[in-house]
Amino acid sequence: MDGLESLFSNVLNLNIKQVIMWIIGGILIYLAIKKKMEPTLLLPIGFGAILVNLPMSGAITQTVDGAVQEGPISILFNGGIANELFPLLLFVGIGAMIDFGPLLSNPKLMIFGAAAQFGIFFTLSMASLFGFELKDAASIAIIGAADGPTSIFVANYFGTKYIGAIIVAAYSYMALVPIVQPPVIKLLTTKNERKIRMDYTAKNVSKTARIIFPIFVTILTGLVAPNAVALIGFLMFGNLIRECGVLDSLSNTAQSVLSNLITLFLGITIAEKMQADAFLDPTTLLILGLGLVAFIFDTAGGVLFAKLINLFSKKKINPMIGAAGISAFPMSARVVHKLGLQEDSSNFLLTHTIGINVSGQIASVIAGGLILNLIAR
Amino acid sequence: MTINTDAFLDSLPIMGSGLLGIFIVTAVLIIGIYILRALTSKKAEAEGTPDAAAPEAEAVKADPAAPKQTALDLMKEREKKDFLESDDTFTISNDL
Repeated sequence: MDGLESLFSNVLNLNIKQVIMWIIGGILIYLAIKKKMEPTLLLPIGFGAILVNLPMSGAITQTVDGAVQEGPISILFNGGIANELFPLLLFVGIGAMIDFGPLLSNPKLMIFGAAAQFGIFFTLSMASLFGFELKDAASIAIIGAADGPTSIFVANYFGTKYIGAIIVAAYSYMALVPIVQPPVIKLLTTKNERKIRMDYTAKNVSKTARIIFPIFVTILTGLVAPNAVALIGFLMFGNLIRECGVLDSLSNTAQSVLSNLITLFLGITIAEKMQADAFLDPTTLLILGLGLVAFIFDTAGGVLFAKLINLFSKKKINPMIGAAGISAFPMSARVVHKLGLQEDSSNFLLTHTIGINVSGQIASVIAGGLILNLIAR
Repeated sequence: MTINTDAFLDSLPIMGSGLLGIFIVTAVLIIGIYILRALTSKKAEAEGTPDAAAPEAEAVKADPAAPKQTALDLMKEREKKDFLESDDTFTISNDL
């Protein structure tokens, strides 16, 4: 009888908060499988949320009878996220995936990538208004980068205790770009503006330019925002491997094997910060709300900036393309393109939006770097 | 949750500096790219590969019987194939 009691004694350690976390984990798994929302991350995060919220879970480091028992998820967290290794390695893969050709072909569109980072800085002020410490506010604001590795990097740099909620919000909203962006764009533009057609002339971009570009961006960003040089450096290193033409095998590995491997561990490791006591807090809801604000104002920033340019420009641009400046690639470009097609089935915006979308990737990292520079740790 | 207007006001200069900073860096990047392109324009002409359409352009060269297409036509074709034929609302982002 005693043996049975001891066998089930751990069940008595279960509390309602842990059950709620199982439900949250279940919802994330459901969204990943059924709705195909960022399944590569939401599924591991959801499963991890269940794993770490089992009573006395051996997956995380615990103190039992005064003795510290190391858990593998905590070890992975300390070895891969606390030291910023996983997001950086992931950036090598992302850099190898991105073709900066459309951006090099039409560089002036890059300005929309900058404008669409408005949500980050706006949310920083909003989070401060709601009483968050500046370093926490900065970590929350970076959800608006629409860029997972940058969000993890910045949140981790500032050592915020809200890192779990921030990462869940960042990846969830990235998956929700097709739902979040269209109403904001429609609200800020008229039907006639959405119908504006834009000419596109493909320009030749030499291989030399493609090779020098990542080196140039690394040097420039490193000079302006030295704290972000690792982020931009790893992204551009991946791109250099892609463009150099002599490392195809490494480029393919970075794009597939490396990215998949890091993603596999990243998701489940993030769950270390989804333990019920820390995660189930009204603040988490507020962070999710502020994340949404960041995405909305990123979109608004890009669209309104395009409208501002139209006030002074003879050749009108379709203001919707400004919304593609957020970093969620390639979803944002596709969303704007499809909106254009809804208004005019022969309006082809994708060549513009893809260029702006990849500039958003660079701009979000620069924005993250500027935040690291502007706010003391 | 408390409303902290002092912290909000303190954060405004950071917001301003951040926005200004990102526009300055982007402007320098744009100028840099134009210079880079100008310096390498002869090479680009010699290579003759319009951006983003290189694989398709090569495919056309390989088939002399194929009708002549502009880069925009090729992009439209690829876009139709890659983007429009897919009906998934939530697509996995590369932006991991």
